[in-house]
Amino acid sequence: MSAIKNIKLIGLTDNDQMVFTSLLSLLSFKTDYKWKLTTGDNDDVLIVDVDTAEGQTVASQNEKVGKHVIRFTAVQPENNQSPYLHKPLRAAEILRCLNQVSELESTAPVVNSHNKTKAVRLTRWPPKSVLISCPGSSRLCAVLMNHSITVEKAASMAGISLNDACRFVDACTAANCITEKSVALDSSAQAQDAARKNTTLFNKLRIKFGARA
Amino acid sequence: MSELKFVITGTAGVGKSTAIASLSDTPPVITDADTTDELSALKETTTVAFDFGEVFLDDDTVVRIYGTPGQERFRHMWEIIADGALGLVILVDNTRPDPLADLDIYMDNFVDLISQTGMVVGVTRHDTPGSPGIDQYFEHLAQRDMCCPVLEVDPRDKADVAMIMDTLMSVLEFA
Repeated sequence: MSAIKNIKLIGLTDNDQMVFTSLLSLLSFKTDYKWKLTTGDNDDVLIVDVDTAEGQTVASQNEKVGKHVIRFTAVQPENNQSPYLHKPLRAAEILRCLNQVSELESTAPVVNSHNKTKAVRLTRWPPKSVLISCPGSSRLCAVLMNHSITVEKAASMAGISLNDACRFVDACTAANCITEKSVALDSSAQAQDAARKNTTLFNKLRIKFGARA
Repeated sequence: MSELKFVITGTAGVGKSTAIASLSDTPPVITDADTTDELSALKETTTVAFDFGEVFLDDDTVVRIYGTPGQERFRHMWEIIADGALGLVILVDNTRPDPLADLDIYMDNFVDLISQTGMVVGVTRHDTPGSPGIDQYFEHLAQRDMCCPVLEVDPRDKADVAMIMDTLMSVLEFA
């Protein structure tokens, strides 16, 4: 139970969120990963209430970009392949779902095909279709625009999950707007990481301007 | 109250006022006058001083977004407007005869602001037949030894304007 995974709740009622939070805390010693709730875009797993049209759309969109989605529903989905969580919330159901996700993670092909010692760099800003496939993509692009840097480091600097960053870099590679080199890492980028001070302000501005996380 | 300032520039009729209106918390200040030159074929009025919108970030911080007059004959206003700005958006109308030359005009005139902060280029009406593709914009920037985001944008679309501003924030934060 070493790795930490972030879980995000979407569309759940305040009561369900409260119940889930309490049960997750109680179950923490029984799960493969240490699960933490997040409201940011660093989620590894989403729990989405799919009993609304909006919820179904959110779930489908996130599954399309390769995210782990647990469907929270009062009816059993026809496709039992994807993890789903029955309403009302029960501890055993949550445990079953989280362990199912853990199994999927351990058996899934490794998304990150990028060697950790290799640095990547954007050769051009990706097309809009690639950008909208990954929340936080503009931050990742800005990191990769002027520096050769590992995906892991870039993900950390941009504040998005490594899996999302790897998928995004794969999409950029397919769109022919990234290069991968075995070069010494750009120390200025590392220095920037330490020097970054205004994250809160920029995030506030983004939210105010109505950007996607 | 502290003030943060951003500037949106570009040719007349490209959509600067529209973009500011979509961002502003208050009805934007518009300094339009009737068009009297060849622009009158395209639009009835044009910005002669600046457009100005406000976004209230919190109790202590206001973001002011200025749109420059597009026509070059008002370029004396550009330097005044750029003073103290934190970042620049250049909107380029891809239906104009030479949009890459238009881009050069704005990059040359805002060179100090760009070197000190950051910029994003938004290309409007990007799918106009016979007009430069996005790749040509990147090549053009590379010839000037510049690397910056170039995005297709429709200023009438709030999501597009939000994406441009999100990109500018990322450039300022990380690049």
